[in-house]
Amino acid sequence: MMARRESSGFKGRVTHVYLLLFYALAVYRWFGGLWMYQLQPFLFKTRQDIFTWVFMQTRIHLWLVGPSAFWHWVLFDALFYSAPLVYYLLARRAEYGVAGSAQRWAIVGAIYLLVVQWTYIQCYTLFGVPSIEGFVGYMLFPILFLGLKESTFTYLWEALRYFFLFFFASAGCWKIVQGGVFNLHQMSAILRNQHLDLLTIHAGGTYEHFIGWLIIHPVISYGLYLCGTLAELSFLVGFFTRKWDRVLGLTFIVFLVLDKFLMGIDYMDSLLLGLTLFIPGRRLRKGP
Amino acid sequence: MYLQRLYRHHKGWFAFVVLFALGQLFICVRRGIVCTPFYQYGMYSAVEVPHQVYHVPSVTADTTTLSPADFSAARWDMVVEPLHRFEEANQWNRQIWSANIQRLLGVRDSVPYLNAALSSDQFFNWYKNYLSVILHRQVHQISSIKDLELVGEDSAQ
Repeated sequence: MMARRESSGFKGRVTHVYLLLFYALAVYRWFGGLWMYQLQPFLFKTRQDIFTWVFMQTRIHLWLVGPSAFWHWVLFDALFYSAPLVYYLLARRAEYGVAGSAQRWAIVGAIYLLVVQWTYIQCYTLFGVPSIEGFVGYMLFPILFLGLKESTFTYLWEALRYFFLFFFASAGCWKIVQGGVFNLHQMSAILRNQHLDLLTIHAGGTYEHFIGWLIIHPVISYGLYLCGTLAELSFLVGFFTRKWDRVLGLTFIVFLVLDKFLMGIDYMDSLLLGLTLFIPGRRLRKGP
Repeated sequence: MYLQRLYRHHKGWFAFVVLFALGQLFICVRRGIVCTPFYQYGMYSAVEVPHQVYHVPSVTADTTTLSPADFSAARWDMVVEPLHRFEEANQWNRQIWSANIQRLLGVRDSVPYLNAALSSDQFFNWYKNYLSVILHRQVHQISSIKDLELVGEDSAQ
């Protein structure tokens, strides 16, 4: 029996968009000098993460240390950036295979993608400055592909959407719990910390003037912080309705752009999670 | 309801999703230590106040003092972060190793968790080559690395 062709179904459509976005981000990261071989890992910083501590027992990260490890970095980049394509080719092979072996190929591809992406992100974030939270999309997406049936994949897609809503909304909740949103000088102090080197070493530029202006006008900069917090909290609405998904998605993109412009923080990699707001899951019947 | 439908569809995936959600909630309630892929997304949520003293790293490669304006924020981090990590000399890693890893994992070998000890010469030789790659030109000398110390409220203006 031939396996059902799924490239034109929901899973196929999502896979194509995922591939497009993944490689767009790869190009973006390359131009930003953020591939591992461009990062040149040398000194790592352990984080408070139990999984990472167990992972470090494998000593894979030590294999990446130092200038003599150039080809190790290249290998890691090659594995990471080719993994989605390898998965895609294996999954396509699965589409045309015999039902039993087809499933095997698809599952091998998904597990390969999962292992490669987790390993790379674990190592990359030990050496790089960006925190691992921004890369969670890379780690969760491969789990979706373990759902072999269209219907299972759609349920997992819904789960990822809920996770993304939580991801963003919880950031807003933390600002209430930890008190940042009640501090009128919050954004002014953050901008000061964030751009201090720029403001002291290169004080004359237009951008630096603008940031300096925001710092000395704490009420205005606090207004931006409050808007950001409200934007994050607005994601709570997604738990009750999908009607506002596209609006939330656009809000997320605006947030990312402003985050990069004002704070110099690049969370573009989390765009992968944002896909769940732009591609609505296929409606499934209530029964099994 | 989503979970009901998922339960009827596949009990294994239902268990996975529920455990994932519980794991995420546990990490949020517990605070402190996380466990991939469960994190706390509370960046910039703690109250920030202006400091009295700021330290700003300044790097001079050959005759040019590097300016953050010539780099993206991420690339500038790449320029200055190795200096911070060398300066702190494994202090953070050592602290986590002795306070948590050793106790919770019950392992005795610290090699995977600490950077190899480096002399100043070893580090700056590496840093010179590292900067050469980032700047796309040969750096012969790192003639000045200093922490500008800025005091007072108006230091950043």
